[in-house]
Amino acid sequence: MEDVLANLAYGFSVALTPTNLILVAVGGLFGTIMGMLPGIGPATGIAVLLPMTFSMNPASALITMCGIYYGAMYGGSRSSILINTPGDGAAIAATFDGYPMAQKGEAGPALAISAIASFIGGIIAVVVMTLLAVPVARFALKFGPAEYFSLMVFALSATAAISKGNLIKGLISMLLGLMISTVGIDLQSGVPRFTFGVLELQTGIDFLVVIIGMYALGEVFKFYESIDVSSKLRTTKFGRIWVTREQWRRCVLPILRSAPVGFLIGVLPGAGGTMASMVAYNNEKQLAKEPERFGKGAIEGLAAPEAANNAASVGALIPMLTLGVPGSGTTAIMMGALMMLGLKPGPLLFQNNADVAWGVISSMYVGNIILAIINIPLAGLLVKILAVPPKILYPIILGLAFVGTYTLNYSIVDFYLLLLFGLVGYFMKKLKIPTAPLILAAIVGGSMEQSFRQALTLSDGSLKIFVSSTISIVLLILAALSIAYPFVIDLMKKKKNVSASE
Amino acid sequence: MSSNLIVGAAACIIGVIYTVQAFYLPKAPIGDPLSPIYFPAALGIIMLICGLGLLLTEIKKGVYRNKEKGKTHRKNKKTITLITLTVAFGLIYAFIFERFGFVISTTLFLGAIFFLINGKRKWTINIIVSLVFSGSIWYVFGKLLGISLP
Repeated sequence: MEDVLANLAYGFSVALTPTNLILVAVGGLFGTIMGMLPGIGPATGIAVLLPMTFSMNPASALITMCGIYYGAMYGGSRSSILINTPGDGAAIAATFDGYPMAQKGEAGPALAISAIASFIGGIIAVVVMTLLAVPVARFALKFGPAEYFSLMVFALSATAAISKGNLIKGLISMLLGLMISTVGIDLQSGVPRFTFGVLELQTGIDFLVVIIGMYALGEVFKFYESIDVSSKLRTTKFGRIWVTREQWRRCVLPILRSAPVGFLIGVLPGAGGTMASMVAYNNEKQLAKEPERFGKGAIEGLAAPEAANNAASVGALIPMLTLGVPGSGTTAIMMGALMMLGLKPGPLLFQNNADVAWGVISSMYVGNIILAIINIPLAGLLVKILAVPPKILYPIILGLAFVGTYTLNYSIVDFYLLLLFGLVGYFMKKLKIPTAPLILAAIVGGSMEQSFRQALTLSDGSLKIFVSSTISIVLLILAALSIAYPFVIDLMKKKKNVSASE
Repeated sequence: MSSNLIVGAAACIIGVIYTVQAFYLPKAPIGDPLSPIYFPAALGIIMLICGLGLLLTEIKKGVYRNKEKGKTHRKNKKTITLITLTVAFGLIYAFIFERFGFVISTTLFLGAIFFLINGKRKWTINIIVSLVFSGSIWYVFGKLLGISLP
């Protein structure tokens, strides 16, 4: 316990420097704005704003990215409440009761409670993370190449299975990502693979280009479909943005219940804010004394998912920071950016780069407070941004995407890749193929193949090494279960239908 | 054709091409000569299996619905035009980026996109936003962040 406090104190000494304070505030503000834009979530937000962090030291870069991340989680619900258009998946649940509240003239309390719930959810999750980070990292030190391979198999299969829609499509998406990761010179043998003689491809396809293309360009292309549909902001004037004692009383327990649930879901690979907020919403609906109020502007129906998705966004950082295996698209981007800055997230991060690890954890306490300030007293000012027509905003996103891509490698070839992956991203969305497995696979694919081959070298080519340790066996069983799970659900549904029709 | 059929067929094609390409990869000069090939070959084959699996389940379901309506068709056509033009502008942008420098090429690119989706009537806003964007990005990156743009 004393260790934790000492570490935290050290972390605050990093987080509270004027530069880092400003950065977390700026990141949080930009994140909130990005999060408010329909279709632009934390992943796209970080992808587009990435170049901002290139000239920073790793600690400041990660602090800024985290600010963008949970800023987007705060912001995502603004547009859900006011124009019934969720900023991203995690904010969908906020439309269920948030928008009805706004229609009833309760936009003020709705905006306030979503920020309050986000704040409490975020803080609870950061406290848990503070306590858990070091034990998890210590445990991960036991991992050899075989365990790492199994862990990545689990992370990928869980992402493919959980991401909405068809399991096979999830797997196809994952395989595409792994295929992308095989382009370039093979690190172990020095053999170029799938480079088609293009010099620039020898270093591989930069997965940050894949991400910016799929998320930023893909979203802009997707926006073209609804270009003529305008969602108008009804009002930018609200009453007091605060809640009454009665409203607060209704929300306390749902918030306290939803935060741990959201955190746990966030830690799981594949499941993220979207799932956390849905689970929290359904939980509260089932626990409620008057479930019929849900969907008609029940304030606790807004508070619960908001607390859960912010807690989830903190939880999602745990596997990325402590294991070096991201569990979501957003954390995958952050990991990519850290690797670009020469840092290797993983169990050793807490020993070798304590300033980064603890600085970030401490900055989340500060960041949540700053975001609560941005989102409650300044909410009225902020939502004016929603009045800027999307026809102006989306081209700017497009411009930022190109600039960001160029600054990665200073190479024009990346522009062609960017356009290519923008199209891939659009058509995947169009054909209802989940994109998260591809992104994740493109990032961990390289190290996954390397650990696979290192493990085989250790065992002289025997596959038994993957089932020779308990950790590895458990992870592989979990992977198998996550793949089998959708089938089991299907079977159960069929049985139910059969028995119902009898 | 249902989207799953398209995805299944595409996955099969990608799987086959990728697997064939994988077997033509250069052999490793040291150690097991096939070591750079196992992983890609496995990926290609699993991809083919997934594609076939998706195709078979779809065919079993017997879905050959043709439910495209005129209205969605027209909307699709507009989206496709917009995307094609954006990609075309992007390619031109890539071509002129290093030749004309960041500010000029970006203003032209953004301006083109603005005229494409924001319409000709709002030309003042289009031009102002493009100029302000490329100018301020150039300033922030070049002067404040120390990242050099052409």
